[in-house]
Amino acid sequence: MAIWKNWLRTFLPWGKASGGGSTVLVEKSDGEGRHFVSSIDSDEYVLAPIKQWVISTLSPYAWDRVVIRSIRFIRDINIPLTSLLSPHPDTKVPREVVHRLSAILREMYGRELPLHEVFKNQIVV
Amino acid sequence: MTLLTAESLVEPHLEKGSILIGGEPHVVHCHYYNHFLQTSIEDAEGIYPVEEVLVWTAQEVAHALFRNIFTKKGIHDFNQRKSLVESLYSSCGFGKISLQGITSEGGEISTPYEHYAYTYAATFPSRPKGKRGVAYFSQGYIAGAIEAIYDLPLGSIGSEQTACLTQGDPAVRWRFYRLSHLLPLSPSVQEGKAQTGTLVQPRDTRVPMAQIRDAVLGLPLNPDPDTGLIEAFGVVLTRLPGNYYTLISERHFQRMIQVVGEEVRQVVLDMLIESGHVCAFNTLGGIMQSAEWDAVVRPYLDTPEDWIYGISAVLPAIGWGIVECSQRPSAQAWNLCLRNWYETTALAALPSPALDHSPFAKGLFAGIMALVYKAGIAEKSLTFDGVLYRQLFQEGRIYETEFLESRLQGGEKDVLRARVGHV
Repeated sequence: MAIWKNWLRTFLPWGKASGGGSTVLVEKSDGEGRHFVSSIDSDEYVLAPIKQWVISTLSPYAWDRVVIRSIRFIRDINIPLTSLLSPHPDTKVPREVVHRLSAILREMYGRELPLHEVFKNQIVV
Repeated sequence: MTLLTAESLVEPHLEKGSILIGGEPHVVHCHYYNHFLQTSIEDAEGIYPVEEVLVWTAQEVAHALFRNIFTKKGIHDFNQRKSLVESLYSSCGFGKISLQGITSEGGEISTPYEHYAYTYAATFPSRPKGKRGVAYFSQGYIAGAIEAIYDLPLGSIGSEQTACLTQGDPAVRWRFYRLSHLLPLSPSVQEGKAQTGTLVQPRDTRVPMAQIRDAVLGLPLNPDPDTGLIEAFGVVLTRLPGNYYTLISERHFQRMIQVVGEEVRQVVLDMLIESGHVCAFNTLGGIMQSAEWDAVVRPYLDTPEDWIYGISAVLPAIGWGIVECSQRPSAQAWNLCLRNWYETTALAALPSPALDHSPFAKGLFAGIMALVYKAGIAEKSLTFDGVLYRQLFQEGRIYETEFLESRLQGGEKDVLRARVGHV
């Protein structure tokens, strides 16, 4: 196979799809008063870790692409575009948005958001 | 009857740093860039009908291109016209097509070899059925060519892609048909606001700028005779009309702002700048590590700055315009001036372009700096993969480009500074 077919594949972890699962939200304490998410099924999600996961796992420009693909939907539910593109540490979005983003990622990159992995070391806001 | 070959239609213009075919500037790019730009635009499919940008723009360009050729060369026979279109299509690396079954009413074309579909299918997983195929450019290009072949007005042929390699089909297939009303297309800007310049020989290097440009111009970019695809420098190349790239970028930018609003401006610009990074990384990176580079350029390269000069001399030979280095580059900054930069030249011919500078140039020259000074292409052989891409353009990104003067803002030329910056 020619070399040219190869490197874009490194951005595309096909066949490793893993869903978030239908688990419940569990918080763990580290004994110093900080709370961490252990598993996820929430009505709202902090967006920044999701963006970080997308950028670092899929591709540097994947987040912008995902947001552009979801613009119609985002506008329907009145979330400012800028909040999605550059979320603050405390920017939260409803579960339906996260599911939508996950579906778009599946179509674009063959991978869904593994919410447990994304949030496993996050401090609960 | 004189046999007219596609290669004989290629006219390099050294004083402009451009390559014309049928009066249309053509530029060399690789499949990574082609897909990145197209996909960035296709992502907006839920926002506006992207075919109107990706297909119609190609139709406008091809219509002008082939009308010019047929008129200038006095080709009136439909079969000769078809054969020239087929030949140029392959010669430019778009793939292989036969127009045998096409009439002035349209018809169907099917091919297993089309640049976008073939390279996409080899790289990405299958697209779901129901989603259209990726051969937008060819669809419009062929529609415009059919109009020119039969002396039909621009916009009189409609088209659709009905099968694609990217959906597991064995071939790409399009259907073309006569429309009762013309599509709202605009004639191509052709050479745009072309300007001339000189490839300056810097005094502080022994890199022979003109000699390198001429040597690269002389390199054959031959398509594989079986596929009509050009594999070179570790990528798959096309020689595509530059106005296509420029106008799809501009129109996408305009449509996004129109539909979504000003808030989307920066993210669209960022994607267009990113396309410049992708291009520097793949097309230019591939060239700088090729056997041809080693033979033609490398013997003159003593310092990292020489690599910058060397690649600058290559750009006019692939039709992008003329790059002048106004000062010796360094790892901190590279000041440069662009004459007849293909993106600017096309935009400058539009009545009121939304883009006020070339975003592609912004990404490209920062990308060259990153390859030379951050990745160290002068010292070691690089592997162009996702890991290196991230190091240069994501977490490890340190270079950015600013426009100090833009022809699109009243300047006489484009003046840029690529430098270490806050990105």
